[in-house]
Amino acid sequence: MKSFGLIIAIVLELVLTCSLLSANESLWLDEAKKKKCCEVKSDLSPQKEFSLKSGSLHKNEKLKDLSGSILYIRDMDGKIEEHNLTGSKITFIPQYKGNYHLFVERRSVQDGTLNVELSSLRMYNKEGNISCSWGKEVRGKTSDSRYLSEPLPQLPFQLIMEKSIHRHHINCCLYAGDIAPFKVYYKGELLHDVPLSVEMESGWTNVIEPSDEGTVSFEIPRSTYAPDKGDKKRSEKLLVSASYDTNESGVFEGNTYSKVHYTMTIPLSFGNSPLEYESKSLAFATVIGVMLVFSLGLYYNRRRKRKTLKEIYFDEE
Amino acid sequence: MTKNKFSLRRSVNNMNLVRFRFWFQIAAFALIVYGGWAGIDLGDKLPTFACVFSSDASGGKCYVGELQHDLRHTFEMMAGYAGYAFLISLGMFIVWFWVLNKGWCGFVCPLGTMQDWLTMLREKSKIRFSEYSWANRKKIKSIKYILLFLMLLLPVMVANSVFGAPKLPSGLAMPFCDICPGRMMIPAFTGDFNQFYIDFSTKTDLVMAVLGMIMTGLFLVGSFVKKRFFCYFCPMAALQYIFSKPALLKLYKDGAKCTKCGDCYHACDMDILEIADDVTTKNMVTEDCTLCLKCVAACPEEGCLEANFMGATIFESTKEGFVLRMAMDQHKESHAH
Repeated sequence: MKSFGLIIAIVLELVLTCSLLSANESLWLDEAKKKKCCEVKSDLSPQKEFSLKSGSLHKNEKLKDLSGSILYIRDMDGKIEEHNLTGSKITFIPQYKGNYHLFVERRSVQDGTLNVELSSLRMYNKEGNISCSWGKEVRGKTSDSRYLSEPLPQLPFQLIMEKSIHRHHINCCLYAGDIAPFKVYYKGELLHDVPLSVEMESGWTNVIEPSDEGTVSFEIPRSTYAPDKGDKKRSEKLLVSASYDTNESGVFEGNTYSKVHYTMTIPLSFGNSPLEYESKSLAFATVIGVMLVFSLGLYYNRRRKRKTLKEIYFDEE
Repeated sequence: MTKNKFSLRRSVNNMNLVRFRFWFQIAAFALIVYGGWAGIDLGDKLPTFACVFSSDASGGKCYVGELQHDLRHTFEMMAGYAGYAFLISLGMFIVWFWVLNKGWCGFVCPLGTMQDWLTMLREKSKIRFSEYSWANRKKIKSIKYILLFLMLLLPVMVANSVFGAPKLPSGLAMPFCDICPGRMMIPAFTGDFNQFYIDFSTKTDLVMAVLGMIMTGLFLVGSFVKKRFFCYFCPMAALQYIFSKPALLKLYKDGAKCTKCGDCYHACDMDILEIADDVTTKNMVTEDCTLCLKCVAACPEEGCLEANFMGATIFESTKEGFVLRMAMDQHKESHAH
């Protein structure tokens, strides 16, 4: 009887986990690779191209028709632009050098439920338009945050990545071993009970429960199957998503709904941990070794110089 | 009004420069090393070591890091935005630099301040200081220019094939930052020791990381026994000197008033002989000068040496100031005994 109860519990757990992981099959933004032909050769900023993908990292399809979707672009000064999307790809020309945050919102009604699919992506632009951004270059501002500090007011539901915790020296990017903390907001208020589903390109998936403070954090796992762990340039994709249901009712494009299902997905990429190919103890040993050798050299050199001169007598012949 | 002005000038000339500089350096150190935590951001073109690797705490960023980054672009890109960005950055560096001239080294540089603290520690420990021989000094002088040349050339060669030579590995993109002791020491003051590492990923990274650790070890011991040990090799000093002539802050000497007593030379941390010997040149800011103004404070001749800002004298040598400072030193020594 006890074992039967255990089996039921395991099956229920699996069903629950699968249902949460299936929430990962959602909408996410993907940046197109830069084509060699189109690299910038003038003082104009290059055009950036993105696509919207639906599904998981392994099984996804590129959306062919983006009409009805809204794109919000927030620049490093907090200025927000809104665009109604059409066609199959998203293009825009960033004017400044620095971080941009892109948000996509797509709504549809299915079986009396309004599905609000959201995605955000951080993009770093290396080259701006000089005629617009010379003032920024003169200022040389350095504290241009790559993380979002506050929710975008236009989005009702939002997953925000807080500043990650590094255990190594590189601050620019995410690496295996870093702790990535997230917060989930609904209409500007922090939610304390929304779990996070995570999917890695190498196959690792998990559902992370939030802490009492509402922060959902996880340590980015080391890719066990990566061919070369010492490769600095290797990067792997990661999808992080959260879902939330409310009992709001209303009409959207003539269709009535009695429930709203929000999903937000953030695509991230991370590299091998620098700790895979670096040694700190050897560095300290080198510094201390150099200090010892240099100090001893100085000491003996000074002692030699301090020795009194030996008197030499020459016999006159 | 005249009396007040006279009194202000007199009190400045009679000030205890050592104490003033000590507190000024502490304030500048706090601003540069910890300013970021207070939301201060002076930009990334500062003509002083303000480490880019101490990303959150630093109140500004060193131009040397930005310069290497700017130069690591293809020639095609340098003809566009990257080239404009490089020129703007260089222009801003020059503007910042002109305000204090080499005073950035003597009063603001955190690496210089650390060296001064190590000198103070040595003095307290009553350990004798070291000097470079005159034969070695000339050779040492050229090292900073060699480092500057390599610092400018290597990032260009990482991004481009220069004269048909193959591109250099990307591990040489920021060659000076790799070996700069500031990269290790400035974040260390914020409790971040993560810059102490040996990178085994490539041969280039390994060599550069080991060189960086060796430089840090040499910096710590060298600065302990030799005043401003690292400043003799500093490529930032070489870069600054190129633009030093039109700067606003200057060190002037009136050769007619100089008696060649040598007090200024003995006070100089950088052992600049010209400050005592040269009686014909007016502007005494040399490539090694850190504009610490110790020479002005040590000079017993009325108006022989002066710190001048945009034509106005801000601090000058006076007999009265010299006597007062001598008395302060004697008082300090008697207390120490």
